[in-house]
Amino acid sequence: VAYHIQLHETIVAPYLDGLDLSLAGRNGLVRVLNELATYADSFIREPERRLTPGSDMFEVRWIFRDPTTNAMHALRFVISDAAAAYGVLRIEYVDEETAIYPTAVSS
Amino acid sequence: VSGTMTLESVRGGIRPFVEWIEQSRPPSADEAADVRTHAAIPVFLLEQLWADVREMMNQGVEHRKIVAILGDLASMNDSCIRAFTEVQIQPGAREYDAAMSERLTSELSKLRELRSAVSSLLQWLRASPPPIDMSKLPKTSTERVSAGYISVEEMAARLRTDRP
Repeated sequence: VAYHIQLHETIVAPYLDGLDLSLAGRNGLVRVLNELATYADSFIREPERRLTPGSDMFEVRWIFRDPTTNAMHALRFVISDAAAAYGVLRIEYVDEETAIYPTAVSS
Repeated sequence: VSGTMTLESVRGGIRPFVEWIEQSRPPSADEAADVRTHAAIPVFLLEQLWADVREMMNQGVEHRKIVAILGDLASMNDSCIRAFTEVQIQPGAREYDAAMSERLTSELSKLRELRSAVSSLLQWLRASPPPIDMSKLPKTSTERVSAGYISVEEMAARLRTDRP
């Protein structure tokens, strides 16, 4: 099933917009958002991702590297599938952790 | 792994060099000779897998998937380190020429560097994130259309806007 991903306009969008990313890093972030839609079907079927048993919210963590700054970014998304019957998934919350690694790791 | 190597091909490629370690026995003379002569092969395979892992992170990868691959890489790397170290201290190791011993030491050094890089990354990835403050989560909507959300395309346009 191909899902249409939406982002909470006042919680998620400003947070992502405010991340310290280069232009290439922001392009990487867009790629991550598109990947979420691609793999959502399997994430939805994994009960261990649910915030609480039976919750309509599940958690997905995604790692990507900003090629300009070499920083590694770990994003944690909380996604609701309450409207999944319409093919819509909504990202309700996101947080991020950054790590800078030596060249041996990041290059 | 999405790149040139797969976990199975790497595992298969290093197996002849570490099988005896995994069977908790000393190497036969032929197995020890193989390590001394061809130590560069498993190191090359592990470095290729590491390069693929880094490329996956460049592209973006789901957390559990990358942690699993890195865990396998760390485990295979450790087996090679144990095997190389064991061969280095084998009785009769001194009979081999200096150049061969030097090569084995050099390959072992590459494996230790790789272990350091992989373990620091794994340590970061395995650290538990802080708990989510559930009170910050909005009320979910079951409707097809719900105000207060934007599409990925709109988000992409924002992110690609030139900024100072």
